[in-house]
Amino acid sequence: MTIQNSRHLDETDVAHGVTLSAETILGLDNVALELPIAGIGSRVLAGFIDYLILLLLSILLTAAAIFILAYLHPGPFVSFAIIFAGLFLLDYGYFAGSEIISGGRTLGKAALGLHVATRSGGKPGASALLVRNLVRAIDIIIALPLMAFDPLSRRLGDQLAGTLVLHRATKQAIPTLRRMPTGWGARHIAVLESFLFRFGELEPSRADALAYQLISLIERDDPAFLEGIKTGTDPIGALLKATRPRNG
Amino acid sequence: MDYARFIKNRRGIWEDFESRLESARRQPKRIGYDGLERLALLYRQILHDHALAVFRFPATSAATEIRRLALEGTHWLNWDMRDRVASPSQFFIKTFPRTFRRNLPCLAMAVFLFLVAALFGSLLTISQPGLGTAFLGDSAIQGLREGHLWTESLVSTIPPSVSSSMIATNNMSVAITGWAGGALGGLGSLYILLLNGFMLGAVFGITNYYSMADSLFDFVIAHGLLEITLILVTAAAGLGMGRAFVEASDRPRSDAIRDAGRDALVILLGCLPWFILLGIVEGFISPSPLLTRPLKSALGLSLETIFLMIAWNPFLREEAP
Repeated sequence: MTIQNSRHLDETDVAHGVTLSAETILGLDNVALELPIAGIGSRVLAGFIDYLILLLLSILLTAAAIFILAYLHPGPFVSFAIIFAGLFLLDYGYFAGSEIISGGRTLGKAALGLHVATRSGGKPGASALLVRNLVRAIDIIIALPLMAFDPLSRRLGDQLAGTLVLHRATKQAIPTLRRMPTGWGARHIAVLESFLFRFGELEPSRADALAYQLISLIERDDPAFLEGIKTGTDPIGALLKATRPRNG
Repeated sequence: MDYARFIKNRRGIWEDFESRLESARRQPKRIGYDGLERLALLYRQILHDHALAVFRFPATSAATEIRRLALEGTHWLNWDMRDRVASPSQFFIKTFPRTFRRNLPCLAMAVFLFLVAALFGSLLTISQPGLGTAFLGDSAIQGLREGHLWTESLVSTIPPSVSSSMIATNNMSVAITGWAGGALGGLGSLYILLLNGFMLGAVFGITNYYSMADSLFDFVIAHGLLEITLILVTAAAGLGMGRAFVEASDRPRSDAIRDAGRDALVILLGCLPWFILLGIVEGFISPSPLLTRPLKSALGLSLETIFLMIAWNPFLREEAP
């Protein structure tokens, strides 16, 4: 079996009348998939965290050099050499190194649930990660306006490496629903699902009130749905009983 | 198909895909051909379920979860492997020379601009020696009047081990800046080329005025030739990137930029290790009064020849188009 790479939209698609947003890629069989692009705010915050970590590492490096100087007595110049070489390596190596090792995440990105991907949503190679980080010195100056005006929030390094920064979606539990009221569309289903997920986080009186509202909606659209289920004293239990499997 | 039945019928596939993807992530080498084929088949089903869920059940938890699975699958299965290099030796034997050859037009342009700037700098300081103070500072000019190069104080006050690391990191920073500056439509690379060319010409012009050009030549000959070459080559790679940003071609600009970025990276990675060697030469050998000019010249020429032989690799056959 050959796996055809997913791709982003290009001029050919535009010519064929495909009108999808810039965040959309076309996967196998041209199934459209919208990428969760990380916006300028979360990227700046991730960068801020990373530069704080970089500052901390630089301080640790300097402290280590002073420690070596004080206890091992190699002469002051060896310590200076360690500091010069170490700071250079930290400066150029922290971002690229951590992204290559972790598959597209620095500590700042990991803290905010971001990761680097190719323009097609795939895993970027080492060279792409190196390229996007080696132009960081220039991006520090011009990244903000570039990201603000780019629909994909790409800085210069991203454009050069063909990469994007995406939000990593969190795992969503799917409720075990046995059935749904007849005629209900996706919007109503989403509301009911959302309620069944979150009623535990609500005040009991508020949760009961919402449950009664949902029950009245169900009774209006599909009176047979709650047949045989008592809704009077325990509306949430009634909703669960009506939608969850009998043995589940 | 209603929502409940959709979940009931497809949930097994989603869970199977997720568990296979997770184990493939943890141990990619143990997945095997059959495992990969099964994963690809499930990925295809996930994408189709995603298309259905987006259309029929938007905003539901199932649609959100399938989208997450589709994104995770896309990320893992579309691994960008185009730039994989078998080994460092393969990189220096094949990848680097091929890229270096492809970038020769930009290198020729870089050399031309550098030479023009150097000529301009030397002519300016020869005709207006008073400008020397602006370039080198009062103390350096005073030193030249007394027959001392400013480089002497640099190497007499700092041990070679420290000056080596300082020089190597500084030169690498200059090279990376010149390279990265190419991403600004080539402007950054142009700036580095013209500035370095102008400064080199100006410095030789001033030292020539104070009859110290010979001493400067003695100092730079062991490392200077290759150092300038490396700065030219990396800046030329930056120009190549800049060209991709502004040049009109029949390829999508994003593809052209990405390929130019890859080529430029290969050239930069091929050049960076040489800066460490040059740092050692500049810190230990160049200032040494024990080594004669012919020896330093031989070393400088040898380093230059070895670099060019590796970069060009005359034994490498061109790839069939």
